[in-house]
Amino acid sequence: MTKKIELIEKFKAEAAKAGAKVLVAENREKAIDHINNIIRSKRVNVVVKASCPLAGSLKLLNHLSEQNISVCETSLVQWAIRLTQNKEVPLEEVAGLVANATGEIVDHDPEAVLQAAKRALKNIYANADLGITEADFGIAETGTLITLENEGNQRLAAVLPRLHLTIIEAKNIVLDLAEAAEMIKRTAGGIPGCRLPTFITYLTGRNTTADIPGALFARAQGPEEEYILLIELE
Amino acid sequence: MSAEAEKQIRQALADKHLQSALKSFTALTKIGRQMGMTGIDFPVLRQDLHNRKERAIDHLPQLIVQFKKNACDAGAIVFEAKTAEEAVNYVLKLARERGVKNIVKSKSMVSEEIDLRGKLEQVGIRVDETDIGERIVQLAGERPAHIVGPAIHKTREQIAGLFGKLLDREISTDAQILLDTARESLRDSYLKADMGISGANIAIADSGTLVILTNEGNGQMVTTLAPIHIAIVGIEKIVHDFADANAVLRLLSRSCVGTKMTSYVSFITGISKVDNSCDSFFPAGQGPRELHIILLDNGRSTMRESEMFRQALYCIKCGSCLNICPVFASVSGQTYGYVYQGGIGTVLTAFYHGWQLAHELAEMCMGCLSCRDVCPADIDIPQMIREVRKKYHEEKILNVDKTFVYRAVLKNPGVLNMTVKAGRFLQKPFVDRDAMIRKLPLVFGKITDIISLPSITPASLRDCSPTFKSTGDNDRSRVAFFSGCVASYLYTGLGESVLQALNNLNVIAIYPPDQTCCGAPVYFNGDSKTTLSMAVHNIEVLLETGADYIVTVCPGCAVMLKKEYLRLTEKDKILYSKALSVSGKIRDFSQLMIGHSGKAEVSKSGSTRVTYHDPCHLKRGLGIWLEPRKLIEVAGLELVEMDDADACCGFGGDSLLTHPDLCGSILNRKLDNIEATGADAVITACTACVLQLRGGLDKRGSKIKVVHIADLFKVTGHP
Repeated sequence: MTKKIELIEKFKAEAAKAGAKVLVAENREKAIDHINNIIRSKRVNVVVKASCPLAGSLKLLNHLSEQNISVCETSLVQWAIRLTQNKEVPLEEVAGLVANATGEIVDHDPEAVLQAAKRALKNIYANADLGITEADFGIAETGTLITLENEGNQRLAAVLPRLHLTIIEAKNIVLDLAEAAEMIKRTAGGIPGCRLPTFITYLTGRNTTADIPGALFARAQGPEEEYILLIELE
Repeated sequence: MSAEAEKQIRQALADKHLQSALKSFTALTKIGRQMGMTGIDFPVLRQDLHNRKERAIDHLPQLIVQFKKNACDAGAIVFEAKTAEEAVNYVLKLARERGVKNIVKSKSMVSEEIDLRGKLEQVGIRVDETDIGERIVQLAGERPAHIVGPAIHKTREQIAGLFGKLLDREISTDAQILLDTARESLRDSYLKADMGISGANIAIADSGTLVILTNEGNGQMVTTLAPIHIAIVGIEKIVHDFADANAVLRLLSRSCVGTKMTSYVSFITGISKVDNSCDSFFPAGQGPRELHIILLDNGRSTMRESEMFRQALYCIKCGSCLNICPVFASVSGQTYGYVYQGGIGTVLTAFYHGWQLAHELAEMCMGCLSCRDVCPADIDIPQMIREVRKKYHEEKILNVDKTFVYRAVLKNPGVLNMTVKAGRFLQKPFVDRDAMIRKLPLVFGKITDIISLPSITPASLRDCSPTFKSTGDNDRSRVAFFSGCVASYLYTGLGESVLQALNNLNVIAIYPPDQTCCGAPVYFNGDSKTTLSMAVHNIEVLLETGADYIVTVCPGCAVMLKKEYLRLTEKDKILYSKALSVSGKIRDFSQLMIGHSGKAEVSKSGSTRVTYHDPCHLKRGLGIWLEPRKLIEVAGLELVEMDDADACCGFGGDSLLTHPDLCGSILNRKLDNIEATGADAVITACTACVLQLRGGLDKRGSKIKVVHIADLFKVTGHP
């Protein structure tokens, strides 16, 4: 048990050293407080989120729409469901809805609908104030967040919006790169040669560059702030 | 050395912007190195990486097949390009077929190697470099100056000028404003791009995965937003599995910028898809619709076949060898490089861009060994640079004068002595009253512009050596003195000090008069054949003395005798065993003395506050750095450490003749550090360093004395 606590402490320290802002919540209320603080202090009006099961089960984001904050689902299926208002509708109709949403003419062809949807979503990410994603694992030794996905919306929601918040559960923090690789393999199926998820992203601290003299560790091309909401439920 | 290259060096040294940028850069990388190496066992980690890369390169043909299959199974299209042209044509054809007009590109040295951006722009396609450093270089119309930091040679003023020109407005030189400008000017490019081009830092065979590292976040956007992603990957990037990839990740960021991890590490396996896609009509996810992976050979297989150069394929492109290189610190990678820069760049240039270009780079190397010390893949870069020189030497003919000197003079002690005698006569008009030479005519004037030279002493050590053939009972150990050329002809007083100090140690001191030059100048110029004949001669002469130890005062000689003679003779069993015997007897002066320090009599010189300069070949070549410091302590002197005590002094063998300006620049940094200590004297343990430092300080009119550590043991009254 103490070993787990050490691991979590190490994670917090390393993530902070690498430039992330680490927020700790022992319960739902505390987590909501942290989110509210970001929303308020950073003037957030538009939120995009990608695959947030923990936030969903704890209902961390439900209060946002009550505050007139727009929260956009970014997985293609979720996004389409929103357009169709949760109804089963044929492709032609979805194409029409996507056309309405994007102002483009969209053929009744899955490829064309996909392209149009992607174009629409790109702008949604780029204009969002805050992207919220969840990490599958964390690495204590380096303060790294690991996200596994097939679709690509998590990495876009993590890099394009002005701010980014990653939610991670403390129990998913592992020691080092080697342990993380084991966990990834296990998640992917544990069979040697088994297909990995399309995108695995290791995010450490905040984006930065040394290309401009005198601006070491300044923000480069990703979000202005990287927040980590560490959920430590008792 | 071509006149063009010489001109470039002079221009780089005179470029105030460049020099100021390089100064900040080296200060920064020094801190980065310290940060990066904290809390890890570097020797263990780099051995592990070396072993894994070695294994991967051994199995490369199978790994290519495996990678290709797994990447294709995951939805990628893999193309094996044998040459740069094939790779470029593949991209051009694809761009044409898909009607591509706008491309965003993340930093990739491989794409520089094949000049991909240039070729795409030629057919009217707009290519935006998205790494901010690369973007700056693109706007300036230049090549990257550094593998990791393409624009490290630019000042903020220059960068503000470039962005100002692009956006047609005045841009502040404030660093954060410049960054904001760069970011904002790139945003639209990502969103409207029809193609993203990246490299890859690692390719994992057993899952068909590309691993792409960026700190800025641009890599995430380049590889995800556009409908087509092309990754151009050198075949040497392929490793077996995740564990191999982790070995690279453990050291890459630590070695290049000093952080524990790069901000974004992306593992990409095939193309994106929607989870539970059977419930959805979306045929794919939000990533690119097509992923093309170009596996580029372009000389790599030939390199793999070469026993000597195969190691260069272990390189993970961290740039740490550039960060530590004294030549790079003087002129940057645009002068010391073609597409790939510095020491490792020299080797890569040979195979990717040609031996002629590579040889010019190899000639600039000072041989200081710093790059070998920091390489996370434990690649012996200095040895490969010597091989580049050797290969060039074997195929072309070196500078005729140099070759004559090496072949005919240095290898024969008799001829060498006669030549020195002639020199003694010829130097007369140029020797000042204090026996220094401050101005020489013709091409030699280039040297005396940088340092004042010692004059050849009236008698060589060889001429006066019989005095030192000490006799005595046979149970004392016998120590032979290998003096090296500088102590033999220029600093004979030093040679005498050594022999005196040995006598005081109660050993039998022997000066073998038939010893000749150790061969280092010849060897480092790539003439192994002549060097071998010199090695054979010296091995015989030294073994004949029956010495238990062989003491040296020039670590350059010591490294030759101890290590390189073994390499040179390895094909001849008998010779090798003799070389091995010599190798085991070699002791640097301070190493020998520290064992006997209780008995040594240390002369008191006038100075008490001293600083110490680590000779490259003593510290990095032989691992000796503590012993001289201990001797200084024994001598009762106060040691004030200078900044970068182990940085090269700029002597670099015959570099003074070939690249005097470059040597002068490296020397000046050293002299600044020496002067900053406020010491009265600088002590060092190499005759060549003494020559260089003394000559440089004399040019500055400095009062700081330069003392070889052996001179601390000078018996009172002796010259």
